[in-house]
Amino acid sequence: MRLTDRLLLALGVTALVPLGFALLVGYSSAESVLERGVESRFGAVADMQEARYQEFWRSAQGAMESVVADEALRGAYLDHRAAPGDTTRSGDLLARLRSVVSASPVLRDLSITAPSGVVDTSTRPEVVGGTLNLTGAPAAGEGAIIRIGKVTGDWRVYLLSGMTWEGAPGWVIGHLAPDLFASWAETYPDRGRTGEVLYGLPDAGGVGRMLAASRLDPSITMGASVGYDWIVPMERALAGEDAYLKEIRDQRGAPVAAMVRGLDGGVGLVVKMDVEEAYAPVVDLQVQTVAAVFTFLVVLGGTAAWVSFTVSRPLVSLTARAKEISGGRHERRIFPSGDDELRVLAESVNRLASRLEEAERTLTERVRAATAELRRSNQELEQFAYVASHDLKEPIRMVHSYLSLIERRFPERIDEELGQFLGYAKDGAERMQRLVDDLLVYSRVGRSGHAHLPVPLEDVMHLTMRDLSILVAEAEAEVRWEGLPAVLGDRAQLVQLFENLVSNAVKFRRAARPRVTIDAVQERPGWWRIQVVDNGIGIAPEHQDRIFVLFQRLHAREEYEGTGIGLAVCKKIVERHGGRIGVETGPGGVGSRFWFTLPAVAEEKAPEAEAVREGTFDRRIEELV
Amino acid sequence: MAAVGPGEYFDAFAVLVTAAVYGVVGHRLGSRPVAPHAAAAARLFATWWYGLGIYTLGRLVQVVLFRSGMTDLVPHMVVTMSLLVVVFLAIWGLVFYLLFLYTGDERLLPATLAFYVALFVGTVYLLVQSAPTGVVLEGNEVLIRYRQPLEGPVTRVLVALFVGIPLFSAAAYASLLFRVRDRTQRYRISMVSTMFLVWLGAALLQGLFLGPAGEVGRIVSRAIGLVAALGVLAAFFPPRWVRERFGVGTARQVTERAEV
Repeated sequence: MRLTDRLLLALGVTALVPLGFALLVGYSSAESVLERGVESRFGAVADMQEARYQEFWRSAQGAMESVVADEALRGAYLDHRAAPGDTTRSGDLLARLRSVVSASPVLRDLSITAPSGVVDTSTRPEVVGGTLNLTGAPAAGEGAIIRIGKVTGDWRVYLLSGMTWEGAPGWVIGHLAPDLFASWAETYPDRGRTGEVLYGLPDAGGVGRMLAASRLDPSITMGASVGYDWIVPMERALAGEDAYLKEIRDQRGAPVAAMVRGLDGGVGLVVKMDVEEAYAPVVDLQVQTVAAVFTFLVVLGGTAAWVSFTVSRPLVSLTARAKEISGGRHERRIFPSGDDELRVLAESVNRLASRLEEAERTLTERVRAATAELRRSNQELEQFAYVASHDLKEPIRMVHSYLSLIERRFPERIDEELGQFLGYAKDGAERMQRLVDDLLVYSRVGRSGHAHLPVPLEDVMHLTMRDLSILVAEAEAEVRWEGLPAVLGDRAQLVQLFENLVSNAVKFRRAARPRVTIDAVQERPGWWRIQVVDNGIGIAPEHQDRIFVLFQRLHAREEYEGTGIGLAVCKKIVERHGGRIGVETGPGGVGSRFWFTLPAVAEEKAPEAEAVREGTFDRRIEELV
Repeated sequence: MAAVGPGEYFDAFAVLVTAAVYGVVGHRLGSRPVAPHAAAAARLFATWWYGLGIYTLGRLVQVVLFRSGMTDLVPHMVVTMSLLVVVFLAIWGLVFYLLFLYTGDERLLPATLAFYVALFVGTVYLLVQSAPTGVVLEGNEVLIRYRQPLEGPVTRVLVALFVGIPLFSAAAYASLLFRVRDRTQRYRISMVSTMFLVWLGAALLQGLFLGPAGEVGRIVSRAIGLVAALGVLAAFFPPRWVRERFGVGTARQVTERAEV
């Protein structure tokens, strides 16, 4: 892992774990507080509504009880029953009823029914003659109940108490204000956009009916059937449940939070609000937490990246420069910024580089002097070898010529033994001739080279095969090559190099048909490695070092002819091109693999030129577009 | 659950292909060998392409989440915030890449980073201020509903930051055309900047003036995005006939030549 990444990780983990934990704890506490706050707000509204209802209920019960127990009223009613057409008695009864109504804070009107349930007296004349639904009507002494029903076509809420008229049952109806529950429902502090209070009452036919209209849903009017309209929270309230429902759907299908309570008289109370609004503070908290987490992550990531960059950049730069210095570019220096440990390190590296540069300069000068001396010595040696071999050629040719002449001129004087001696002498002269020729070739490698130009090795191989065509044909050798690149070199010397290696591969063969394969791979930027692989007799590992030495032979002359100069010539050619040469045992332990390196045509740019280009616009375009 | 029709399937297909194309471009550009001094710019340029791919894919993920019944705000906020991070990272990458290309100054990295972190924090602040309340699916895109939606100049500034900077960057990238001579580079710059000007220009026009598009508009928009992505891919990896006819190379070839 890179230093930058390690720093990023370390900073991230160090800050993330404790702060993340703190954030989590803070969030869960805050969420819990907010949720409890929402629930308690609902509870407060429900408490307020319930308290008001209870007060009403107590007052209503009292009012109805006082009506039922009112002897004067009873007397007036019985008088009215005894003489129904007597307007004076009827007027007395109505006056009595009105006085009771005016004394009650909850009653708006009073009606009295006959035993048949027909209303025969009322402070609301329009209800007289209407029939009371007697199902579930309370008997005398059972206390008042609250009911909703249609009165002259409109839904009305009323109280109903049973009583006895001289042994016959009857009922007193206490009419309530039509908007009583609606006015209560309106008193919902901070009800916002979707908050509302609903009152309902069980009815005989279904689940129940609404005592006031909904402010949110126009279809829910006073008297709407709870069961029919699926007003689910109200169903729960009418079932007597006393609970906080965090998420329940109302008749609109909207998720709502609701406090449901069953009140005295079977009345159901619902305080509700859409979840989206009720829990807006919690949602806000969640959103803020998500936002805070991401903001924190981004700020942390950014800070970590910044710290990592500012710390690692000088280190990366220092590492790159140190790498260059260790790679031999001792003239490079580091320009430290700041005043920290990195500066000390940079200055130390610079001092080391200065010393290395100095040592290198001294060494270079010594090497240069030694090289010049060596070159001069080599030149003298080559000159000597050239002169010696060149000058030796003529006497050897003369010796050989005269020996041949003796054989031709004086055949009668040459007996068997003399003939044998002359043969040895000629053979020796011929070998010396070849030795001198090869030596001349060897000395010429260093003396008469041409400038190094791009040379396609494919061309070189074609020339080689042309020169070796007879040898290859006679040995029935198979020589193959592929993917040979162009190299920088001396064409004639390269032909000589390949000729020597291929002819060696063919010459030192086994009984099997000789096979020679030549290929090339890129060894490193700017250099090719060429391999000549054969299936010949191979070279024992202990001899692989010395076969490139002049006059070194591994076999008797009778086995394989040669002068022991060919591979020395190869070495000299390769080294003259700046390359290296070697030999290994061939693939599978069979034959040999000769390899050598040659410079590629496109040489690597000089490091200085590269450094100059590094900062240029063109270079950036080349790299990044 | 809203019905899924051919338009939605085309949407999903176009999104997947577009995201994959951007991912491939990012991967190939990110794996190009470059000199150490240019490594950050190269990595961030790759981040831009990865970011585009992830953002495109993320929007689809939101739609899939919504259609599979996850309509709560919080998970969508998490995805939205993640995508916001990706978008800022991507735009930062593009901007630094271009700045580095023009100036060669690596020190702009922390400066641009600080700018985009600050911009991110500001954007998140505005987002929270507008009080998200829920999510809706509109035109096969999941949109967040706000209690106090941002309107007027603030929205325009945000659109300008989200779309305007990349648009300006595309123009800056296009201007490189006058500074390079290499045939491959000229081809690449022309292709990339044209594709971006078309794509971002269409998005900007719609965002600022046209408003939400209908189904046809949405499909056209997706098709433009897909064509732009394929155009970008062709810019970095030209098809054989382009290479032969116009003599341009691939990203890898140009890099190799730069290394020689």
